[in-house]
Amino acid sequence: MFKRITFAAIAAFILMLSLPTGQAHAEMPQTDVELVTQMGKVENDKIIQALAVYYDLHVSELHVQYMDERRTGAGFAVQRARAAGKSAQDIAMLEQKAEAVGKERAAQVQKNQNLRIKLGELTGIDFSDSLVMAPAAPMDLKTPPTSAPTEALGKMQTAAWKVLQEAHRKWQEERLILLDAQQRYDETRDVPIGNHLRAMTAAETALAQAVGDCRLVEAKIAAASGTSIAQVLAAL
Amino acid sequence: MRINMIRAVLCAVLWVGVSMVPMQVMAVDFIIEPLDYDVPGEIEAAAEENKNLVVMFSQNGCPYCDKMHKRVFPNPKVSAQYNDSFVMFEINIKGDLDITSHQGEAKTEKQYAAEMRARATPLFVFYSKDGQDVLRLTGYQEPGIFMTAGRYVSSGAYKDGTSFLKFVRSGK
Repeated sequence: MFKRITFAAIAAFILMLSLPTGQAHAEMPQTDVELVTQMGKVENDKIIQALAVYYDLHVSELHVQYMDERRTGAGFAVQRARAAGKSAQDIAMLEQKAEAVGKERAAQVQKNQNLRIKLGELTGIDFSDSLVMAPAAPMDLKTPPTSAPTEALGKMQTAAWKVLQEAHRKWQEERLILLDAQQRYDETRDVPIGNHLRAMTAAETALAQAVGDCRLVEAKIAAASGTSIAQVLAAL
Repeated sequence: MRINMIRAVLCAVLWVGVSMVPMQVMAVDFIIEPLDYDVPGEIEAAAEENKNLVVMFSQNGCPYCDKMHKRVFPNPKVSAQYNDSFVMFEINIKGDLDITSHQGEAKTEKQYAAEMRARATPLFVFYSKDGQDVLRLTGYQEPGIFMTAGRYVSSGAYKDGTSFLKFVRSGK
């Protein structure tokens, strides 16, 4: 009897220890190719609709992150003003600003939730976890299609590519500026590190938006020309 | 001894003995929860596996720490590299847990954080296998930079005085 209880206790203990402590891989699709694959055989219109929401959700994740960062920054500003013995009027103004940021953040969180629900409805997949990585930028501009019905999409493709190039350039620039600021902060502390970190998130958001727009146009071109959307996205 | 080490051994036993229990894939194995926050002990334990220790100084409500947890550590390329070459745990810069600093002194988390000049979070401190802090990175680190930091420490590039910034610019 005792042995059985001991064995059960050890087994329960081992089971408890075998549970993950870190973040497990999310079951939901983390790339657009996985999304299309997991959706299975559905009409292209529905896939395009889902992809548009999926890219928006990636951008929204970064918007929420940006608002979290702004909220923290606004909170610190109030704390610093209090610690520095600023006037009640100054503090009230900063508190108002923090409250406004809080409201703006709440709106972004709501938008994010709505996108999750909408995407779940379109795909039948649970999107309650965070998306980890924004989709990858296409490596190069594909030859724009010239035949109807994809000619108009070809123009959109070229325009989206230009926006992507600029967003990517800006992201690279912010990345190096931030790295330099981080090194200087460590040495002198005389660097507005929060501003640089928020600028980086803003640049990431713009890049995610541009990448999503580019990939969506490519998916539309694939659909219009009767090519597999998943294959086209995988080859970008 | 580390909880994850006990867990790994017991999981191996479980795998052999009770193989019908489903095993979940751990994406971010390099993050551990030490029992006693003994930095030199963790440096040594990591070195025995040919890994380096990283300490992430963090605090509650830090959006950049959250961003690292949500978007950087689970990135497959990052977790693959760090699972292979690093062990990491977190120290709360406002925490009161007892720890042993990398110099072997008994301190609280916040005392150690102050000594390491951890104010903005996250602060990543990378230790060499012989116990020196060889790289400090403050704030959010995008996956590419975080991976470059890993290569900088693993390759021992710091030994000849090459700065991290120079290493990044060299594209290594």
